[in-house]
Amino acid sequence: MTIEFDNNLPIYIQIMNYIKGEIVTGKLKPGDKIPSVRELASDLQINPNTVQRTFQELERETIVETRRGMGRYVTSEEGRIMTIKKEMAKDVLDRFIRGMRELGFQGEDIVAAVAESVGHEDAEKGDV
Amino acid sequence: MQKKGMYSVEDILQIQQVSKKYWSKQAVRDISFTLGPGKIIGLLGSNGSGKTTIMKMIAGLAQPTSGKIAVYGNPVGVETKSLISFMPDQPLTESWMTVGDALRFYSDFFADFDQAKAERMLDFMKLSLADKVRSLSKGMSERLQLTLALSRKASLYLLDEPLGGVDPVARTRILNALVEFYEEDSSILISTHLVSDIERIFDEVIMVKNGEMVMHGNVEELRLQHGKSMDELFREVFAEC
Amino acid sequence: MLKLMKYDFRRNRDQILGLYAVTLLLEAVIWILAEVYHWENLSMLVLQAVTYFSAAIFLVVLACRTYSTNLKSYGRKLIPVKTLYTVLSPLLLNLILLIVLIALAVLHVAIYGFVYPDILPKDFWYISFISVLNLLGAAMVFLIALTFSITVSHSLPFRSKVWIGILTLFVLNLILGLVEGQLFPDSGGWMELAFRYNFTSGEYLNANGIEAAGKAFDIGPALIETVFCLILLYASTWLVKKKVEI
Repeated sequence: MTIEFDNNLPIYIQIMNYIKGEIVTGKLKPGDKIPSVRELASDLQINPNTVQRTFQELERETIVETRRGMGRYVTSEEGRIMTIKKEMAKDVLDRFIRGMRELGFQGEDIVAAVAESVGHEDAEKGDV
Repeated sequence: MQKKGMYSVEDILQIQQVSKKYWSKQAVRDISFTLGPGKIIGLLGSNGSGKTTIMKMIAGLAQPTSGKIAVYGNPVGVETKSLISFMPDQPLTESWMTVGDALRFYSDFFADFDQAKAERMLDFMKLSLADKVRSLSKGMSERLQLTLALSRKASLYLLDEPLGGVDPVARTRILNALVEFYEEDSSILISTHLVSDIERIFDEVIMVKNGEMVMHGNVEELRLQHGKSMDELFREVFAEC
Repeated sequence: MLKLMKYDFRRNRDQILGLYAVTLLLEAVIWILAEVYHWENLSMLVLQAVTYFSAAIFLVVLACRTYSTNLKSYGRKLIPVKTLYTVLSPLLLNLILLIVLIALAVLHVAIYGFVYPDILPKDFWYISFISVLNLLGAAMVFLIALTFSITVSHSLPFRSKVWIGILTLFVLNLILGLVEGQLFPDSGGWMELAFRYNFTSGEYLNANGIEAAGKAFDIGPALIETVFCLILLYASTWLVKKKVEI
């Protein structure tokens, strides 16, 4: 696992987002085992306490659960994962919409711009 | 060696209003902080900022002019030397020794020395027991010093500039060793002026400038508060130097 | 403490063993030369005694260098050993090395005893024993004084340390002389006693015997010097603990 860390932001948040991303895109499946604190700290070369905090936060958000004596696992509740996916999408959307508004776009124009952009991408994919 | 106060959450290190004045220079001025167990802490400062002096005082190599230092409640002295593992910027080995001799010296005098771990680490660092200390390059010598310091089961590890003068590959190896090596009931205090490589492994940082403590905080919180990396904060603090 | 002594020895092992080897070699050379060129017995013996004495001095100097290096060594300063042991270790090692040297000399002389039945004066063994014991005592006192002086010079935060050390040595010598002189005007310290038989009985020195003049062992000055040494050891320990820094 390699993550490009930005030292300007709390690292535990960055790891959380990375793991959530892995879960949401299916690379980490529901019920999959998550590496231990030590393993992750060693892989990423970061402080184990930081990893610990990450896991604590993920547990608080019920994305990850601890099974006594066995380790940490991705939640098997698909519904929860869907919710997380939507939350992460909303973050991206909020940032996008704010950015577009700063450029002067308004409501329907934004929707139209998105439709055009997605249309182009699909067309390109279709050609290839 | 009994650690006093096992019934309470005892701080591993307590430094209270410590100052150090050499003949003509005030090296350290009124420094106070405590360190709990299970932490990796950065002591950040430029060369000559007083961080080496602070470490020497904790290790018992120098006496504070005023103030108190205690390790698990014990004032600095013969007992604390067995609780502390110090890697200074000068070699701990003598020039007549081989690597094997150095290990034997450590195991002779430190009850908590782990011979097997030392040999494993030597392997990791690509050093052999028969090497003569005299013939080691600077980088290899640093790796030996680090091996000796980390092969003890101490409560407090003091590493003075472990990354200085070491090539980037070795640096990664050292950082790896430090993270692997972390124990919940001991702490590691690392002094450095090269912050960006190593800030990811710090829980807390203490910044020392001209002998005074200018910052002490949890790294993630500082990142959140200032929106800056420790490296950037460090540069800001030391901008006038 | 034995461990400390072991490492003090290991650091200087080559020099120490080399010293013994060279000393024995020189002794053999002198003996051979004396035989070949028909020297006087006395000349040969004196030359050989001087050789042994020089070796002893070298050992004392080595002890000082060892102690000084220990005070400046990170490795030594970080190990959890009692400060007193740090001070005592080079001293005890030195004592052992001197005893070994003496044993070699004794062996040497015993060989003479067999080869040349008449070479040794009457009462030689008894007198030599007393003399050597006194010399050993004097060497130890001297070494402790040196140890203290070295400690003092390492405790100072400024330059010109070496001169302060030498000054300390002179002052100590002066004090000791004065105290002994006041309390026991007629006897001498260990150093003097060791050589007294020489000075007062020079005219008796011939193939048949020498006599010892005066007492073999003076309890008064010995006591003073013992107390003196204890004080210096305590002071050195205190200085190392509180004032010597690297």
